[in-house]
Parts: sequence; C-alpha cells; structure tokens
Amino acid sequence: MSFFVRQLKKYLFFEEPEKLEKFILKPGGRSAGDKGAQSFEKVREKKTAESEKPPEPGDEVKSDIDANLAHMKDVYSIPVNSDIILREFDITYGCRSIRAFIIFFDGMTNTEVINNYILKPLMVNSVMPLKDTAENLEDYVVRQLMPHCQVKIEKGYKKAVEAVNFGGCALFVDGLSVCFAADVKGWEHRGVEKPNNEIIIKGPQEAFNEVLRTNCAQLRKRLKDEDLIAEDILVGKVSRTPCSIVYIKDVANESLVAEVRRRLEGISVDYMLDAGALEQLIEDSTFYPSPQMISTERPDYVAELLVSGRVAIIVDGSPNVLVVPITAYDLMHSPEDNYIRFPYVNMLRYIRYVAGFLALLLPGLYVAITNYHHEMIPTDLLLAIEASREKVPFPSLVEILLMELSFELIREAGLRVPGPIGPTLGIIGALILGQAAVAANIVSPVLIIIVALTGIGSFAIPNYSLAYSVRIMRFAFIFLGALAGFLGITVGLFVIGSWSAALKSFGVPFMSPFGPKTSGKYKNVIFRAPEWKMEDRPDYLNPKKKKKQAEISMKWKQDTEKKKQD
Amino acid sequence: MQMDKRIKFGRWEAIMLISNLVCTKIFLYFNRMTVEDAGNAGWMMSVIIGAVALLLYAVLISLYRKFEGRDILDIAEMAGGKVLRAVAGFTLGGVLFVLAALTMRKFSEDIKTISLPTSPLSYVMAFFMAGVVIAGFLGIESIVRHNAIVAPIVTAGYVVILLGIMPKIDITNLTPIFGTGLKDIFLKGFYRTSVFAELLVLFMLPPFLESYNDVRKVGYVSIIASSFFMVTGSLVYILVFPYPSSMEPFLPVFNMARLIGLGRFFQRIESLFVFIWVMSALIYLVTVFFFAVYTVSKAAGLKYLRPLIIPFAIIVFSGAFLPVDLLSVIEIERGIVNTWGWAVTFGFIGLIMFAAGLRKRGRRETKGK
Repeated sequence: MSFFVRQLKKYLFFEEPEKLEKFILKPGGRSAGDKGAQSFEKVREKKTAESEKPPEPGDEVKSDIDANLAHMKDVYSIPVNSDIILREFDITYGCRSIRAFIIFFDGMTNTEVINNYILKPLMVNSVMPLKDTAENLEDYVVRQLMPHCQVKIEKGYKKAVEAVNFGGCALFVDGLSVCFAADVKGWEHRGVEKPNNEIIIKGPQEAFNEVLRTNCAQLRKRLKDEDLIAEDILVGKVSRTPCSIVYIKDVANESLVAEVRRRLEGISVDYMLDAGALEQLIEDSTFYPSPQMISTERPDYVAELLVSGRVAIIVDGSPNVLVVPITAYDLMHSPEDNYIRFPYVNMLRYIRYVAGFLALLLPGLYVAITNYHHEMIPTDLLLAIEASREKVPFPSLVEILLMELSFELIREAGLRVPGPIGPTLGIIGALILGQAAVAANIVSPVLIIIVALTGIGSFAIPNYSLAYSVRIMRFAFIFLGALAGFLGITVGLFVIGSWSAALKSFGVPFMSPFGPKTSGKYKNVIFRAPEWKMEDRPDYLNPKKKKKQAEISMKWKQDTEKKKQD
Repeated sequence: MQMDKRIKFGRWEAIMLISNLVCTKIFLYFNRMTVEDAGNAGWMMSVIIGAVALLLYAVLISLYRKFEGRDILDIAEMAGGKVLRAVAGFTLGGVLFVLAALTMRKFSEDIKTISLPTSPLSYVMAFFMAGVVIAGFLGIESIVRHNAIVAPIVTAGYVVILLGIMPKIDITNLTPIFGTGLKDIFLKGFYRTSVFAELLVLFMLPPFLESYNDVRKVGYVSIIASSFFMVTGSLVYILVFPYPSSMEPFLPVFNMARLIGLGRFFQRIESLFVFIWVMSALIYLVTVFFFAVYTVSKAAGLKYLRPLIIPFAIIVFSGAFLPVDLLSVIEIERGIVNTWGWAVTFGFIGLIMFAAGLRKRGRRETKGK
C-alpha cells in the first residue's frame, strides 16, 4: 500500500529528482580518457594490484601453526561442522620435522588429488633427498613438494577461506606466515548434456551446466580466441559466488564492459544463487514486462552473441548465461537461425512474429470485435459466431477470461505435476477446455479456437521470458479490448511502444535499430540477410571492430570468375 | 524531468516527427478541405500549399542560419531579452495547446462516431489523454523514437488504403480541371499553408539536432514528404468521390477505406483503419502536447517539466470540451487555425528571427566601431 502511496505522491507532488548518471554507450568502442569507464589496461592494473594487495590488519596468516589452527577451527566451527576436514601432519625439511595441516571440505574436493598430489609429496617425498635449489621453506614447499597445477600463495585468511569454500584446500605450515591454496575441486555435478529448454534441430547439442569453468571452457572451445576474456567477480557478501564477465577484448565496447563490471561490483546481497536473481539485480527496468537481457543455456548462442560484441555473464551454479545488451528484436531470434539457410530462417521469423501477435492480441481482438466492431466480421462468419454464442450465458469478456485462466492453470499445473501424471493432466485439460466446456454451454466453440491459437502462439515465441511477458500483457489487452475496442487496444500498444522506446538495455536503446535508426537494420533484425551479407556487427553496440567478415566473403566465387575471364 | 543536454536524435527521427505532425490532418479533414476550397482542383491546391510552404520555409531557414544550435526561444531572447522570450514561449506554447485540445476533441468525436457511438465523449477522450500523459512522462527520447517506428507503419497503412481504393477511381472526376478557379487555388492555397503550422516544433528541435544542416534538411524533407502524401491523398480522394459529393464525407480517408472491397470476404476493412488512425493521432497529440509543455516550461525558465504534465493535461482535457459541438471545432479549425496558422509559424517566427538578426548585426557593428 505504501508503495502505491509513494508512487501517487511521486506523480502528484514535485520532488527534486535524484541525479543519477545514466549509462551511455560510448561510440567507437574505446573509452580511454573517459571519466566513467575503465580501459582494459586500467582494469588489468587494478586486478594486479588487487592480487598483490596485502591482507587487512588482523587478517594476516600467522607464522605460529597453533594460532592458524585455532583460527581455522573457529572460522569453520570445528568440530560442530562435520563435513570440514582438518588433517594435521609433519613435513620434513632438512633434518627438521615441521608441523603442518590442510583443511578442505569433504564432498567438494577430489580426495584422490589431495592424497596423491598434496599429502603424499608433503609427507613422503619430503623425507627423500631432493635437489636443494629452494632458498627457503616456502619455496621448497611450493616448488618441490606440491606437484599440483594450481597452487596460490595467500597471505590472508580471507583468501584462504574463499579458496576452501570454493572447493580448494588450504595448507598451513608452521613457521610460515603464508598459506598455500590448491584448487582441488571435485564436487559432483552434471555433465555437459543436451539443452532441455532451447531445443533445436540443426546445430550443436550441448548445454551449459552448473560449473563456472566448464561453462567458460565451452565458450573457449568454440571461439578459440586468446582475446576472449573471462573476468571473475565475486558477488554476494556471504556466498562470494564467482561470476565471470566474458567478452572478446578487441571487439566488445570497453564502456559496456566497464558498465557490466560496475553493476556487478555494485550488488550488495548476502547470497547470489542463480543467474535469474542476478538478472533482476542488474537490469535497467524492473517493471517493464519483457526481459532486457538474454538468458540462455546454449553455449553456441552465447558464442555468437559474443562475436557480435556483446558481453556474457556466467554465474557459478547456474546453467543459464546472461548476455547483454539486447534489443527487442533479439528476443524473437532463435539460436537455430544461425544454422539453417536464410530463406528458412526468414519464414520461421515471420511465423514467430505472427505467433507473437496472436499470443498477445488475439483474445483482446476477439473481445473488441464481438463487443464493438461487429461490422468488420463478414456476415457469414458473424452469423456462425453468434449462433455458437447463442446459448452461452456469459459476455465474451467473462467467457475469454474463464478460458484463459483455465489454460494458465493447466500450463502451471503441467509444470508442477510429477512426470507420470502428466498425460492425465493433458486429458483433463483437453476435456475441460474442449468438449465439456462447450457441451455445458459455458463457452463457445469459436473461443476454444481462439484460446488454442493463443496458446500455440505463446509456445512459438523463442524466448521463454518474453513468452511470460506476453502472457501477462495479453490480459491487459483483453481488458482494454473490453473497455474500448480497437481504441483501447491501440492505446495499449501505444503505451507499451512508448515504454519500449524509452527503455535501454545497458545503454542500447531497446527498440534500436529502428528507434533510433542505426545502420544494418535489414541484416539480422526482423528478417535475416544471407550469411555472406552479414559483414557488420550491430552498429548500436558500438563495437571496436565494425566488420566481422570481408565485404566479399565468398572469395572463391571471385576467383572462379577471374579464371573464366583469363 | 530535467531536459538532458546530452539528448540528441538523428535526422530520420526528426523527419518522421515533423511529417507525422503535418500529415495527421490527412486522416481528419485535409482532403475534404481542399475540395471545399478549390473543387476538383483540390489536388492542385495541395501542390500550391506545398510549394508555398517550401518557399516560406526557405526564407525562414535562411534567417535561421546565424543561430545554429539555438531554438526559437533562445533567438527571441537575443532579439528582445527575457520579455520577448517569455512572449514567444507563451504564444507558441499556447498555439500548441490549442492544437492539442482541438485535435484531441476532433479525434475523440470521430472515434465516438465510427466506433464507440454509445460511449460518452469524455470516456473516449480519457483514453487519448491517458496515452498522452504516460508517453509525456516517458520523455522526448521515447516520443521521438516511438514516432520513428510508428510513422512508417502508419504510412504503409495509408498507402494500402490508397492502393486498395484504386479500382474505384474515375478519371473523369478530375474535370473541370481548375475546379472553382485559379483564384481559389492560389489564394486559398496560400493561407491554407497553415496546415504546416506544426512546423513550429522544428524550431524547438535544434538543440537536439547536430547542426544547422540537419535542421535545414529535416525541414525540407518533411515538407516535401508531407506535401507528397497530401497531394496524392487529395488526388485519389477527388478521383474516387465526384464533386460535390466529395464535400460531404465526414472523414475522407475513413470513407475511402469503407469503399475498399477485396472479394466477397474482405468487405469491411475500415475497422483496421482505426488502428493506424488512433496510433497516428496519439503520436501527434503527445508530440504537440509535450512540446507545448516544453516550450512553456522553457519560456518560464523552469528546470523540470515533468511536474507540469498532469496539470497541463487537465487544461488540455478541459479545453477540448470548450467548443459546444463537433461543428464548432470544425469552424475553429477552418476559420482560425487553418486560416491564420501560417502567420504564427512563418510570420511570427520569421519576425523574431529577423529582429534577432538585426540586433546581432547592430551589436557587431557597434563592436566594430
């Protein structure tokens, strides 16, 4: 209630607006010299400085092993916490025996790796005469006793704890005021499987899983580009969830990357569990119905979007990757569009737009026509509709709301119901929505066709979140159609159009390249040009490199023509 | 909302904005008005209107050359200080308010007549007002961008109507070729240049456009494009409806759409016309309304214009009810707006620019001495 009062006050009384610096995507890609943006070099310096930054006072690892032991026991609530393993042992260094311990989580780590490549060398190999090249104990441990590929020397407890929490193992050695963090992740996870929700016929059949590095690797193996950067950021004050900002260094606009970084760094939540939650925390408009970024489970689709100059955000633990910025038209594209020939793509896109139109407006139009615009229905059809509605006691608005609500109920129940009961639900739905409702004269047969077409239309929308928004807006259009016929629907379209035109997704106007007009709007926006015609990256993204292929990409054709001339 | 100094838009957006402002009247009355004024030669009058508008605009834009990047209120301030700035602002803002109120009343009356005959006028008008207020709150960027998307769709719809009506064309309707006479064609063609009254919005746009060249091109292209649609519209209208029955239709383009019949099934497609018509009207109304509020707020030196939107919307809504009936609205439109509109857009603005130019030259000479 207070929210509505606040909103009402906002519109009725004047208050000085907050001075918010709106993000503007700088043209030309580079942002060197810009106040708000950080150039790539600056970020590199910052990251280097961060890694070399000494720990905060009180956070330093002590040289006394008992102090470290006590601290780690305290941090991990040992012995209450039962899945944390703390193993004490001795290392032989010269003729001395030095106390040490490792700490890791059972179930999150690969114990075989810990046994063979951490504990065994430390406990067994240290007694063997080794080549004495290491100057001190720290070097000796890291250079000769730990034959593991990923070991970091940490000076502070926080970093060590972060490593352990993320499936690592920390080694503390008496006399050393550092600890060694080894990456020994080994938790159970899904393998790379087929996509569940974004199914295509042609093209790759691999999906992201819940492991951050596997997801990064899936992109890397596709793009094979050393300029593909995966920049890690920890989100969540408690969970410290690793997220990766992925972009192609010499393509993506730097101010865009800086803005993504700024938004991720500016999130203050305790836990970040999924990309869906992150999406809501970094999007431009909360109340706008459509999604303002792409959330996909397909690495091939993300790779294609990265090539165009966009930025991806991978969240550890989420099988969906977010891609920004997008425009309204991107939501009607399917990953399959890249893999099938261009005449087929265009036909499919046309069908998708028709589907979107049906899903959004058909019920509203039905209500508008039956209530206000009978004259536009041809007489024969009008007679048929009226004859079928003769016995129905409800006005068309109630009729359509009943059916739409039933349809939404079945759809929602279909998602929640356990697998084996699924077909039963289908039968109930078909009976209720179809035969029984008509036989009982609750709805007219024409309406069944309308609701069925609307449902099929919403399933044909390629973006799952957009389909949700269409479902919500459909109800608004039903009411507008009932209130004022075509006038109401047009006002609704106008308002949603104006809202869309005002919206930006990470600095890119949501309705570009048509509003505002930018170049390349006939290449891959509503319809798709042939593959050889796709020379340019989207202009509205202001990428560093405008071209992604040569003007004449089918050079073989030119060569053949030359040969013919010769 | 404080007008963001960084807001810029391209030539295309500006052309669509101005063209839609001028062309909206084709849906309302323009074709009938030309027939009433010049008979069968209404289309020739449209040519004269376009030509005169181009000529007057050429004079205006040459006067504007010295004031690149400034809007008409800044120029008024150069000419006569803050007083003239306020006078110019309130005059132009007032004109835009009158246009918004009249057009809203007219569109609402028309929609009520053809689509919602049992609904009260205020109910119909409330829908228009809601759209205008919401889009007004969203700001100029949204208006301009949305316009750039909608205007081509509206144009396509209009072209479809013109093409659909082609089978009904009778070439003999053009005779007598000079209609009611050359005097009517030329004299009325001159003051009916008032249909370009909305061109005054163009002189509020320069701060949002890149350069003088942009302003110049936007004006020329908008006038030529609008004239093209006006001429083709009135020509097709005359070819379809013989004189004098062409003076009768209440909504010329709607009545043309009513005649379209493609086979036995597609007989009554004029209802679809409501979509493009309402869309065009909403874009027109929100643009005129927004620039009215913007002009007044700028003239008054206000930092934010958002708080003015609802009060001014109420004023426009109430103002739209002032004419007693639709006929009074048409009378005001014919007798005042479409007869003297040119005096504001070309006369008043031209005078301000001329005075500012003289003052500027005077200052330069004084400095030189």
